[in-house]
Amino acid sequence: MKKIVLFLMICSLLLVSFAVFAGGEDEKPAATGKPFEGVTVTVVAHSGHHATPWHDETANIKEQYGIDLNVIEVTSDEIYSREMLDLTQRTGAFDIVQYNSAWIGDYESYLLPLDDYVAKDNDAIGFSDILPAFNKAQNLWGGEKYSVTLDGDTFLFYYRKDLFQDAGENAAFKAKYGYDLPDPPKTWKQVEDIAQFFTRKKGEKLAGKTLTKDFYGYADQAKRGRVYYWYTFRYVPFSAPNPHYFDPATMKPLINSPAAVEALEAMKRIMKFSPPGVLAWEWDELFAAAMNDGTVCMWIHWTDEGRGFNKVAPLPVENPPKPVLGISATPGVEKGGKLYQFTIVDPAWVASVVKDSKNPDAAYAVLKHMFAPGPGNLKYIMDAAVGWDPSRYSHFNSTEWRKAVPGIESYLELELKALENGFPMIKIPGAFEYNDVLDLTVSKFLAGEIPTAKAALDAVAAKWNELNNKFGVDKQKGFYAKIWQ
Amino acid sequence: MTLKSRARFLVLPTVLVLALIVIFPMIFSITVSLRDYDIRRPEHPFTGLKNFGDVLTDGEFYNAAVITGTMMAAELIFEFLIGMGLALALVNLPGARKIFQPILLVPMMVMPVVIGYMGRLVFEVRSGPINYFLNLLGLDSLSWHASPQLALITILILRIWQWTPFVMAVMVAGLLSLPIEPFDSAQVDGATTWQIFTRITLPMLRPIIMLIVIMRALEILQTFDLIYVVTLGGPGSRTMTLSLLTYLIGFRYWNVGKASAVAWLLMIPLSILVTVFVRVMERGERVGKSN
Repeated sequence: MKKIVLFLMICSLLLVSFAVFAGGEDEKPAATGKPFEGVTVTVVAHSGHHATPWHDETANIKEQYGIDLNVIEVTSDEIYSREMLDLTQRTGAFDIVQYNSAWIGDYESYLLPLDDYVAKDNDAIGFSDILPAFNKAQNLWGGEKYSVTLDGDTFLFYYRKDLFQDAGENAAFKAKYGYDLPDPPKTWKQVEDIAQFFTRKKGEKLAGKTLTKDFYGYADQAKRGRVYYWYTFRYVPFSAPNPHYFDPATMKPLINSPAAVEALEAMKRIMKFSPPGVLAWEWDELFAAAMNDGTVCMWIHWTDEGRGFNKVAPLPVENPPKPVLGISATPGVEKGGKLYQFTIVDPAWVASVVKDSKNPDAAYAVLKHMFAPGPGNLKYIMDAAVGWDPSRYSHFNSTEWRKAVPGIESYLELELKALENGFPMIKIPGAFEYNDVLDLTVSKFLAGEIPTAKAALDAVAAKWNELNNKFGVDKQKGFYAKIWQ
Repeated sequence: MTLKSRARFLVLPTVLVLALIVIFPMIFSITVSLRDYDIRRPEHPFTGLKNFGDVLTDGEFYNAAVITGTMMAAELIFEFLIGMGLALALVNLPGARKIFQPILLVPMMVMPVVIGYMGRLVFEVRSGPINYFLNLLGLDSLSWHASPQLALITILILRIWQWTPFVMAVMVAGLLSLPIEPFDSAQVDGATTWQIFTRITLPMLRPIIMLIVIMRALEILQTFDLIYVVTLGGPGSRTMTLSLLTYLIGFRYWNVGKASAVAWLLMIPLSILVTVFVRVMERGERVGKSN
């Protein structure tokens, strides 16, 4: 009996000592070296796939910094309204905001420039690693670093290289238009000719084989809401050699210049060679028709198609050739024997630290964790499901990506080259209104509500002048200058 | 404390709550409509009736008013006719009513946003099932919501599909609540079915019909979500309604003053409809009591 009592006493002592030591380990947070133990950082993120990395990194951020990351998802339609309401009321409820950098003019006074942090930690977040096109079009504002690129969104020109490689089609094109079928097309004039040439009905021949579906030369994503992008792809090169949205000296809108009118007329002309219904096409419709259905010859889109270059559907003909997707910079315009080609950089999406954040240092630490160059960030860029596109040299030159997706280098290298001529979109206070006015009016012109391109663009210029006056012409002039600094 | 003052004291909290949640926002909204109110700017100067003037000289407002009016006329007519037809069929076929009424009510229960996305797929020009069936019948594909001419019709088809079940359900309830004696007398007197319908059924359903018309009209005036998803007011501005225009002005352009002015101008027809609605309901009550 005594032995049993002794045994139980020893067991009890052991249990107590385990409990004490185990508890002691947990009660020593300071010894963990976590710099922001107990701090909560709230981030507002574009809902859905864009929010995935934030959620996925929550545990790692807690582990490394002691920060509780609170992710609030807001749909892309509502994110501007939601953030603006909070920022202007200065509640300090958000520490990090994800937003479209076109809104920087409205957000500027509520955001913390990151230059001091970058100077202190010797650019650990890696601004020097971000392509100049993205830094210029997204992160820099008046020469200061306001945000860090989260999603290197830009636009590329896609075409059916398998069709362009067909000898019969090449010969027929040359016979009809008097010049070789350009691979890739470099000017809008060439694109229009090619679009006309390849638009054919079901039952006709394409690449020497019978078409099983109607085939179309070119398609825009022309639904009201984002059609202004597709006009901008033309407006900028047509306005070469020195494209501008406004006269930098006076803020006079240049959107109704003769070149701008020519660009809009060209946009409507090419619709003859587009699938029926493009006026209602959003992202899904264009992607599905071009990539899944294979019934569009040329189009401009974000980089999703480039990343999924090997998933393009075969041409809709009997016994189709092996599908090959061509990728190139968006078409330009030739003037005086010189080719002007630009790659429009989508201002979305970036992340910034909010000035009214109660924990700006912790918020910056989170940004650094999420975006500093390295495998942690690269894995999200490589994952197409996340929707964060490459923006850094470390992404474009990644050997891991090349190893994981054979053939991806053609896309990465083409985009890198295209971005050498990156061009920003409008980024002044009220950018949303300026773009939406343009969008509505372009949509009206394409729908036949406004009879001429000139009348449409005169209406846009008049509205832009109203907006300039609303925000103050001199102020807007100052903001507009910041885009180019 | 007298009984009267005690009653007033007891009602006071309700009055205060009402003042806070109804009267204050209304007064605030009027104030905003008289200012150049943009939340991105610190100052909101008083501009008098300028916002109302801007709205009334804005072509977009009249375009939206015409589209909203067209939608109201078309929806009320088609929903009423189809809803009435379905209701009569269900009332006269009690066995079928048990099976078909719940099925027919399904569209009404689906969120307009979901119907919008579904509509985009169903009416898709190249791959949508509607055009597929048109092609099977030897007809050409139509551009539906992508066409400046057909976009509003596409929206109307979707909305009539969604809201006709509501009209049908209320109408069924109305038909079932009618007293049987006038119908028996009419049959004994040798009245035809058409005479019974036009001279007994319809007049007796008048309060129900008014209720349907007013409730539907109020909802149509606020049409927003389905159009937002399907066309965003396009192509051009062919499907821009007053509600969508108010949203765009207020929450996209932050011209909250002008948006408030549009909302107040929209309040005029809404108030008239609500007044008529209340009158009809009161009359219905009086008729009910006298019976």
